[in-house]
Amino acid sequence: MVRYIIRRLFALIPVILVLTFIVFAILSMTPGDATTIILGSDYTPELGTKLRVQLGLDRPLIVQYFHYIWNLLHGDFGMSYVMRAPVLDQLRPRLANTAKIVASAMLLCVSFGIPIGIRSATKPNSFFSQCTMVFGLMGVSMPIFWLGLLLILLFSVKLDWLPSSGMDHGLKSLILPAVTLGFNYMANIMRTTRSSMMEAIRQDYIRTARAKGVSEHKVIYDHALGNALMPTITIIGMDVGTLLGGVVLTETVFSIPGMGRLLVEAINQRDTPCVLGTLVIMAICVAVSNLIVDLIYAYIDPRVRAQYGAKARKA
Amino acid sequence: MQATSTARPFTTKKEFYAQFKKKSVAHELWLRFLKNKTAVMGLIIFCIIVAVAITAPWITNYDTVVIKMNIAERLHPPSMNHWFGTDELGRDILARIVYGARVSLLIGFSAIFVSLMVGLVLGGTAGYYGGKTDSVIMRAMDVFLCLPDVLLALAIIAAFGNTKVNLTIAIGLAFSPKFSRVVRSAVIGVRDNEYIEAARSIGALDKRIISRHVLPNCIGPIIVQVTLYVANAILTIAALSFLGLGIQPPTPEWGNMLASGRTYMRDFPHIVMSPGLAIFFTILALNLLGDGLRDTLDPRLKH
Amino acid sequence: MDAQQNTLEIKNLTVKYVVDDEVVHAVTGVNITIPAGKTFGLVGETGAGKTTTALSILNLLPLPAGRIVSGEIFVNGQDVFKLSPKQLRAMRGSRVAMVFQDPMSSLNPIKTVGEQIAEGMKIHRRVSDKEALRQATNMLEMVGIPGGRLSEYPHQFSGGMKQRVIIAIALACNPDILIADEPTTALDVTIQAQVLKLIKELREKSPMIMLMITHALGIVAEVCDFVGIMYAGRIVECGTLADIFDNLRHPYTRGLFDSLPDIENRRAELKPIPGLIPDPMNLPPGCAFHPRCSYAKPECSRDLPQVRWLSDTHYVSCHLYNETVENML
Repeated sequence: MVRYIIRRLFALIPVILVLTFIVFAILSMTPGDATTIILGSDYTPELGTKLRVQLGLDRPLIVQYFHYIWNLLHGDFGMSYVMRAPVLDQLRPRLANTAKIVASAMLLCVSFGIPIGIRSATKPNSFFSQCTMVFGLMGVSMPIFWLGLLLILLFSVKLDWLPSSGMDHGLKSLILPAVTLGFNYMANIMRTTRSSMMEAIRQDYIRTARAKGVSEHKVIYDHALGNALMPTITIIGMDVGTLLGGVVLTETVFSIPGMGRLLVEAINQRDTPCVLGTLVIMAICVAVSNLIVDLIYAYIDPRVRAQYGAKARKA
Repeated sequence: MQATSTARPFTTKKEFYAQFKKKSVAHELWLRFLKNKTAVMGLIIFCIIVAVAITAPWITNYDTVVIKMNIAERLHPPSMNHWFGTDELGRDILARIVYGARVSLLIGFSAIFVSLMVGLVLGGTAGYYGGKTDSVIMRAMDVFLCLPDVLLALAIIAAFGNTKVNLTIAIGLAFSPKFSRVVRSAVIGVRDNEYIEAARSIGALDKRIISRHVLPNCIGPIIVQVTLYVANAILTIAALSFLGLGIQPPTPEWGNMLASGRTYMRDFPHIVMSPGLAIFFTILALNLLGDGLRDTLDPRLKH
Repeated sequence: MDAQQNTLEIKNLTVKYVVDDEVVHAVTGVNITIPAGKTFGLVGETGAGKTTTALSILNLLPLPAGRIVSGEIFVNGQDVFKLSPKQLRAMRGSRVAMVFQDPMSSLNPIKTVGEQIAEGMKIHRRVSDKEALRQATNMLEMVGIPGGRLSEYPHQFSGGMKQRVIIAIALACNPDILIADEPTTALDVTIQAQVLKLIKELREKSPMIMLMITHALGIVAEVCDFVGIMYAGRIVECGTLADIFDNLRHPYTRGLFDSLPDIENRRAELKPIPGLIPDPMNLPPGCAFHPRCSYAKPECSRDLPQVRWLSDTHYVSCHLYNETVENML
């Protein structure tokens, strides 16, 4: 098991390297001269060329890339073209804000989504279950930036219960953004939990458990859920990527100083190192969360464990 | 079944059997689809949206109504003249929504078409040939999957700018890894079936096997995913436009309408209602349709 | 457990499935009585209603489709359908146990076999975890699996072994009644023989009642004391092993025996029963077998045949015997 973890961690490295290279390569194709952006109105051709060499922009792509990775490993994300300051300085405070929103969204969704999904699977024709299905459908169809605006209209403008922007009000600031961000996510979790639970309950081993006299509660929450959890966990993990995509929108709607907003601003200002830095961090987060999902899988499902752990014995 | 009176005698056995097969399979699927009320509703809503998009030039005039500013009439709430009200520059919102449908649908479908082509090639090859080819292609896709659609599209747009073509390609490429995966599983599901082995055993070439046997049986899950991804693509376009990185004003697009209207929404909430509803209903319709298709094509899930 | 008390009585059981407004008459008017220590073989083709009968004993029909229309099932004198859910759960696994047909899917893939065997013991016998696992080890050894494999997962066992595990689970709490639903159908022939041998050994050791469901007459001959032939949800003939094998009366039973290839006469033509099993949603009127029966008379397509007792133990449901007890085949 430990070997499996270490192997996966090592496998992560080339993935991240390739990923960052791809993003690096794409962004290096940005038309226009970086030096014009940096120097702004001070730009002259000679200064431009000098700066070029200084920044290493005249060297081949691969060399630039390795340089970048090398710096990255030392915590140096390069210098923002626009702010003339290390990218890391801009990232740091924003990272915390983004993390708070993403974490609260995930917490909200998992703690509500899964139990609701289970409940509606056990009584598939009940009113509760129908409502869940409707909500699930609405949830995945809802554009979250619109939802954010609607929530602001209702809770900030009309009712004045919650702040409409910024992070200054502590926990209260988190509520609307977390709900907005998590809306799609929760609907997805609910639907997946519901369908995989229904699928699990149909299986023969559930019949065997009932025939043994196991209580219905244990049948559902132990036998069925254990097997049904897998697809749900996949969704929870794999959709971290979608959450990160959504965080860009959520921060824009709620004017929250986070990584998402930084990304948009940087793109608008053609601040490539900043864009690169943000995307790299987000990509690493997604890769790591995929890894965590795989590990959880291996922990729960002995069949997966068998492939990578002790040798399986066939009678 | 009787042959029709004007039919010429069938020249091959294939034709003879074809008359039975075609009618019943597609017909049966259609009937099954019709039983699903929500799916039918989704189909109807979607058809309405497509119809509106196509007939837009006849419904309203682009230059005079959609683009032209009319400050005197700005920010009017919904009324008989303007069913959805006017926006911050006095333009009729309904007209802009109608034209917005064109943009969203056009780019959405084109982007997914791009994804589909890439996905079919990559996923089909990976799924069919398996082994090393499969591993290589799938590892590559896995890497791309680490970057969620919106972000990958953002990266491409950051680099290349946000023209309509770029948007299409960016979104198309962003969805390709997911599509490859779908195609690959569909192919794997079919590849190991015995009729493939049977075809091979009578000497059919790979190319023929793929086009005649593998792909037609994969169409089911692929069509379902196409529908769902088009919904996703339209959402992505709207999201990008909302951020200012997609379709730029004055071209109407539901996302950028929300962005520009946002400043005024406190006092004039109507300005963010209709574009949002448009996005919502389009995606809802496509989701209902996709779910309905999935239920129709996969009999297992019925009970 | 008082051997005298040990009985299974199924009286006039009728079960239907309702799916999307379509009704499947799975079981109609089935009567089965099994005294202590005996084995009853329920024979019939796929779809005859055997599994439904078995599931009814445990009141485990798939909901919401399965409905018990009428009838009573008495396990040791208690009417199963009148039990409270708690009593029902107490009965399942401890007094009545079932071995299911498909070993591949009947075990929970994410629990060890030890846990799955011990689960029943913990529920019904209230023993500690440690004690339950110890007893589970014994059960494994009893079915011929090394006790050390307690902590392994189902996917690590082959089909035959999985079936043994299922038998171990069923026998874990020493049930009075064991229902075996085609326990060897999914296995290779050699493994079949092993599992059958195991079942016979277990039967000899205890006064357990066994309901053996199968479509293979060979297995019936090996293991059963009584035989019931089931067709389209009804029992068409029922009696002791000798009654059925030596003195069969119903045309369907005749057909079943005739369709067995004769190993001594390899050149003879095979004699399958013509036609197909009727659609359970659309049973033929009168006797359900009449379209395929070479002895059919006009009344067979109109009236349901009555049950006719030919001896203390043997009855048949066929219009051929309305007037006589002579063998008409």
